[in-house]
Amino acid sequence: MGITRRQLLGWMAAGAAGTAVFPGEGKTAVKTHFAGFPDSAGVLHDITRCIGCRKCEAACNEVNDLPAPAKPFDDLDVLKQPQQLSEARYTVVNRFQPAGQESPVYVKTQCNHCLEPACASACFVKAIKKEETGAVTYDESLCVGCRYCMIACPFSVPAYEYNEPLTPRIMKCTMCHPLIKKGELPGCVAICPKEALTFGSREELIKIARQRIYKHPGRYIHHIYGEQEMGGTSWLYLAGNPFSALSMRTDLGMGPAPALTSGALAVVPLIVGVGVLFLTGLYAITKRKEKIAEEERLEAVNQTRSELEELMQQKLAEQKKAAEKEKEAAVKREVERAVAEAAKPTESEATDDSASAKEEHGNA
Amino acid sequence: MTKRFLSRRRNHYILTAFLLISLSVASILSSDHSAARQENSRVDMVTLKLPSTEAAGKMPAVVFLHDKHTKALTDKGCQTCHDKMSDAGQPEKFNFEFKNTRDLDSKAAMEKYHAECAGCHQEMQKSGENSGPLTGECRACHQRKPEISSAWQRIPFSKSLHFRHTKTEKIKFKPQTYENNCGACHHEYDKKLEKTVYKKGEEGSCRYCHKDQKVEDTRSYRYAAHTDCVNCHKRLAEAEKDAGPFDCAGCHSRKGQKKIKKLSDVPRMKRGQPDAVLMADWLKEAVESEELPKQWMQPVAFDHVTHEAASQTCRACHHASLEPCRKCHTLPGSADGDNVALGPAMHNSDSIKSCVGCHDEAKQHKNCAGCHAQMTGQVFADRDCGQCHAVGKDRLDPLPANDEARAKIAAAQISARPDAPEGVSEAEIPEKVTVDIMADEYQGATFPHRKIVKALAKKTKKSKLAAAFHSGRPETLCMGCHHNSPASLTPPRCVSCHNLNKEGAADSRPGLKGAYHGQCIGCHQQMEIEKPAATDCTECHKKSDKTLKANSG
Repeated sequence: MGITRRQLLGWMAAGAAGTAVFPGEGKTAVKTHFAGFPDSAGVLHDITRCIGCRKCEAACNEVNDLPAPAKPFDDLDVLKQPQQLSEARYTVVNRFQPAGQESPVYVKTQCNHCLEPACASACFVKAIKKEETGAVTYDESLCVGCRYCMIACPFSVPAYEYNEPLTPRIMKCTMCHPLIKKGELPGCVAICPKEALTFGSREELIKIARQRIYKHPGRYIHHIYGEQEMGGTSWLYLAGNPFSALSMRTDLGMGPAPALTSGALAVVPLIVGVGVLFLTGLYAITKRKEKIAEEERLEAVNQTRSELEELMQQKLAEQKKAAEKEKEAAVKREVERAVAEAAKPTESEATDDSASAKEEHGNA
Repeated sequence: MTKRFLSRRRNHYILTAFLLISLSVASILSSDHSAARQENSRVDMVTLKLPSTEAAGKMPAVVFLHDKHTKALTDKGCQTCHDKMSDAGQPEKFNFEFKNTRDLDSKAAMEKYHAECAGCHQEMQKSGENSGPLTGECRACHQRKPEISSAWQRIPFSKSLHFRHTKTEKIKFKPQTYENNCGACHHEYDKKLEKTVYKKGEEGSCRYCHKDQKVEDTRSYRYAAHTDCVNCHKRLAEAEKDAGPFDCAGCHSRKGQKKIKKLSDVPRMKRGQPDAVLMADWLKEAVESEELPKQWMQPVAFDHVTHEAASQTCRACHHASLEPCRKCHTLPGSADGDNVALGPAMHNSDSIKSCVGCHDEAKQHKNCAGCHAQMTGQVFADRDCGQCHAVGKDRLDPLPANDEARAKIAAAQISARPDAPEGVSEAEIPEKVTVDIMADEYQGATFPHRKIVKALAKKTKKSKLAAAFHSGRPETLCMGCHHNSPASLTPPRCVSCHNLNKEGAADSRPGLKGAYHGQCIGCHQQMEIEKPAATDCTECHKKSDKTLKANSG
């Protein structure tokens, strides 16, 4: 396959950006990388410390007033099945058994609070917003329920209240935005008995993560998940196993998701704005072309007609001439005949004849 | 509620209108690779690949199953594919390269393989036997992605295996018979005689000369080992004597390796090595000048006997020859020692061949990891040189002039070392400790402090390494948990460093709860202690009335 859809959209965007003649227009997120709000908060999840007690799930359920689970949170048999985020669960813990390793590994999953969230860039009513605290929040009063955010999210985080017939909402972790604004810890971080979750400013957390890696070289793989992924996320991870073995996506690249789509999305207003002008211009040009063609046609017809008329006039004149000549010749003949006949009768008759001949001549 | 509902409904109208104006279709291409198919794995898989040339090398390598062929050709014998070679006075041996393709170029070798393999398959088929692929069925042998994966295992020639070979009656080493069979395998190449000869007392690891790949005239290790081992085992088997395996699976499968008899008590290998070594780079020069140099490092008394017992091979330390380390690894470094100077050669914590690297590896054993895995990875600068460099000036007077005198000094130092780590007397260990500073959702925890210390002490008693390095301070063991503060029988409380607040210090030091749980659970995980389970909170603390309502089970 030669050209991917993404490439095509990218070229379209590039082309559109190139043709944007309005100053200040066509400025897309591709050009500038947003490195997060200064001092914005994040959470560092040290996977090597997690023991899979599910207390974070319980705390999250309580803080966010989510519906009670089918099985209580201290039932750890639940971890035998893979768990998924849903409209009733902002966070889940999953158990993994990496090959060639005795002990299981537990990974907590929730919204990663990207620095440049794909969900927010896909939301055309701005219901999803990256806050200065670092949290990615959701305003249900703006939401139209299109669920574009669910498709946009590379981590498959947002869930939808399909069972709410009248007022369905998008449901996802908020990093306990109301709590952190008050200076408190997110519910999951506050409860974690192993401090597998550390809350703090993202820059500080990256420092801490690096320290842990260097202090315990054998314990961690040398990668902080979320530092670069998708342009960086506020939620960071450390692990002792490759992240791919923990079902975490390692195919996301370093660029923020909006960088892949903002080009194409930025073309939309351009097309809406310039497209009308362009099409009007096209219409005008076609119209003008038609008009000119019509005029030329008429001119050609007129010219032909006048030429024809001239020709006819000529012919008519010629015919007239010929007719006159004939007439004259006929008169002549008649005169000569009359003269010849007049020569035969008397003198008096002859004078009459000559007089009548004169009359005729005058008439002619 | 109604307000929210109305605004939501309006939004729905807007959306509907919007959708009527524009409809977009998103196609998500998901590349879901089906799980790798269950692969058939075998240990006798040989990959035949000729050096690429214009003529040969366009096809992927051939997957050849050796044991399968050995079994099918039992009646015809090895000579079907392998030529015999004979040295004067030596029994006949097979050359385990395929029908002398060694001197052929790639194209000729390829043609020979094609003619021999496909030809033999064809003959077998004519005589109505099962046979392999024929001419034209290229991909049956040339497989880009082999259907079969290799389960081949390296066979370590352990001390037990080595000892059994030295003592067996079956090996008859000619022309002379020494007290054991060393000369049957150990040899050196004599350039004058143009053949390999046995030199008593010069034995070393095969791998000193036979590398992974052929180097000049020295065959690869693989070729050398198969030529010697398989031929000998096969000869013995033909003479109807009990012999070692001569098929692939016999040595290279886990199952085969399990069948090999292991001796629990193996005597030392003797090759004139010392029992104790006094390691000091400057000694020799000092003896010549008859005075201590201006700058000198205390020598290390190295216990050769203990280290032999802890290792399966001499090669673990003597990786290139059985010479003393300093011969190649000189103080400033030399080309012979790959420019690795003496200091790094002994102390590089990333190399398993160095003292420090090997000791670090040993600390990962579950008996040690409970404490040691929690400690930060030590950089070399943090270490206490005096632990090893401990031979003081008093022992070096007079300067030992010869190896014997040096060995004596080293042996005296070694014998002064404790056999087991010293510990704190039982009375001084608090019996029970209660942690209740954070009682909240759970009540305080009381744990059997003395019992834990005793269990740890019991585990370290088995280790000579611990005996050597935990010595000097009875409180060393306490420092496993009471870390980062001076060794003491009255260590500071944990809360003096670990914050009660969850938001620990910026130096990534955990808060108090994280510290307690990290220390207890972390140690239990490292030492593979199953009970109490990490998630069984009530095993250590009773629940208080303040519990999460959602967490009631």
